[in-house]
Amino acid sequence: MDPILAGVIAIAVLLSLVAIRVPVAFAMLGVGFVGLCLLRSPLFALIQLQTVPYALVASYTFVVVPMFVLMGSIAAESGLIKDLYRAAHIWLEELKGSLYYATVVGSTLFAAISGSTIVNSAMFTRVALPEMIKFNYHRGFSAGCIAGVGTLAALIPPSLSFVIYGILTEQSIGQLLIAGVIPGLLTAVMFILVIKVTIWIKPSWAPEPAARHSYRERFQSLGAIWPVTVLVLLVLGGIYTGILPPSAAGAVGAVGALALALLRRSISAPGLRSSFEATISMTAVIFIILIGGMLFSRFLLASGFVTEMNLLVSDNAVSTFMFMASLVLVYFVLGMFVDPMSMMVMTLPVFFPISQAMNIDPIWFGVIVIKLVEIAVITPPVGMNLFAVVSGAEGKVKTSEVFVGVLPFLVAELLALSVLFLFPSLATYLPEQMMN
Amino acid sequence: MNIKIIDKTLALMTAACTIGAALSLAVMAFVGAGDIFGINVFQKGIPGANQIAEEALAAAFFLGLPFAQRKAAHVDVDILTSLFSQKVQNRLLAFTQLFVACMLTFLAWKAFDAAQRSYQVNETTMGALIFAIWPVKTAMVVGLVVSIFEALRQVILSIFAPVTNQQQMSQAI
Repeated sequence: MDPILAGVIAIAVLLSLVAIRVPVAFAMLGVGFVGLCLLRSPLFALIQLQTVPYALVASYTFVVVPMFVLMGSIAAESGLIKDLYRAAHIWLEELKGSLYYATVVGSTLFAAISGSTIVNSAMFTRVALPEMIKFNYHRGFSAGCIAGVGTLAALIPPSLSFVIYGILTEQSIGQLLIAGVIPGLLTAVMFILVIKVTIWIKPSWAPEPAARHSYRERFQSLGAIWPVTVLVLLVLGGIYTGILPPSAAGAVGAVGALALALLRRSISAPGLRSSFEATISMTAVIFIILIGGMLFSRFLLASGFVTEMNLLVSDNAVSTFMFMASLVLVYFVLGMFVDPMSMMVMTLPVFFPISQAMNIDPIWFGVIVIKLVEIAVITPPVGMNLFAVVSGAEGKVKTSEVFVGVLPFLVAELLALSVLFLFPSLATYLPEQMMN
Repeated sequence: MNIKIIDKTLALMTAACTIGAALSLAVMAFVGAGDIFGINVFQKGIPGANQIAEEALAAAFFLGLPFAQRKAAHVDVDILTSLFSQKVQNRLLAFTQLFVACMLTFLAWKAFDAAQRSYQVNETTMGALIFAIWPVKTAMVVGLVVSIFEALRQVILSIFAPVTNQQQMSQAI
């Protein structure tokens, strides 16, 4: 069978299964398995089923995934978000729309210890949204703000998205994590600008500022930030200086988060149980998707689809710009329907080899892919962060209000993406320094 | 046999797997952190820390699968199916969970082969610390088998409990 046709049929079957609600991981597993059965032999496919799951999971490189999730879960359960948010608000309360800015700052800080955009959005919905509604902030814009800034966890290390990208493309996870720092901060600045402009256009969306706290109280509030500082220094400092490989940094971060929570007496037994349960669930979900993705990509490789796609691109002299533009388009469309991680697992086996054939820097390409993933999680109608906010809001805000409220933040994301396209060194500078 | 007893037994099996997964996570975290502490303070890490972490990760994942299955935590897309009637949605849910159960059965079958072979040849880790791998591969089979039962439970619920939705299925253990 023609490799391109085989690949197209497989992708069509995969999307059909996903459309009727077969879990993405099992859809990829099924299509990959049946495809290998037909293309090679049932014995070959069964051998893949026997070897791939254990070989993939029992790998030291991947220990980083559950460790970062555990660190973020413990930090979230121990009330760190509330402290961060309060401190950010106290320092910014003299500004009109201070709670919006506090959400950006608090979420950026929390992103430095949590790698999950959904956890970030869900937790800030619980902490920030009731405050915003209480002080007459615009509901939709408030919810959109929380959903938007929640995406920072995908860029700012320890980002799970970068870890998955590193696993799928066999790039240095340490370098990828560090590469996300400047783009993450750039995006946070864009969010602040967008909030400023929106409040200028719609003054009624934010109440007038009312300063209430003395400088003494302000400095006291900074005391709440020290656990975050310690964790960030431990984890990011360790990775950047090369003292800790990412997996060890994850383990140190998880134990550090637990030690700090116990020291501050801010975590209960049910809270600890909940952290472990969340980690177990997320680990199972992530790894079964990776296993499914591995089977699926082996099928694509065995069918010759990836090689043919590469030839097709080179024969037709597709420029880097055209390739990147089509990547943006595919992620934008897929992102409306498919969750970010599944999207990466499904698309990277095709796109990454092409990008390498075009000599695109793999770190910069990774940052762009993660940025697109960020955009996908806040793109209606299926942006996962939007639903995390809607469900966390418990009826305080309608889905349609969130869809409208997030639009300015989508603009901010696109602006940040354009800057990264124009100045690739923003993504590659820190990893290069790290190597030096 | 009373269906409630079966359900309760399955819940207990899932809970036992979840405890195993949690312990594996704890081992991974403490061994990893202890190793780094040892290297930096005593210039000597925990022997075989990496192998322990690798095997603990495999155990945590496979023993955690039943919990994710029971919680209906796997990523799916419900845009199209949400347009259908509840009856059609339940039928589709039964089909999708049956599909999941089939794939898990293939995985469990081959995992059983791998565990059996590992036990027969006394497969061990390679590195500073040598220990048998077959217990982890057995945990892999256990996790997958319990997940199959969980998937089948969801098939039954979606057929015989028409009002059941994903959330009700994912009742806490």
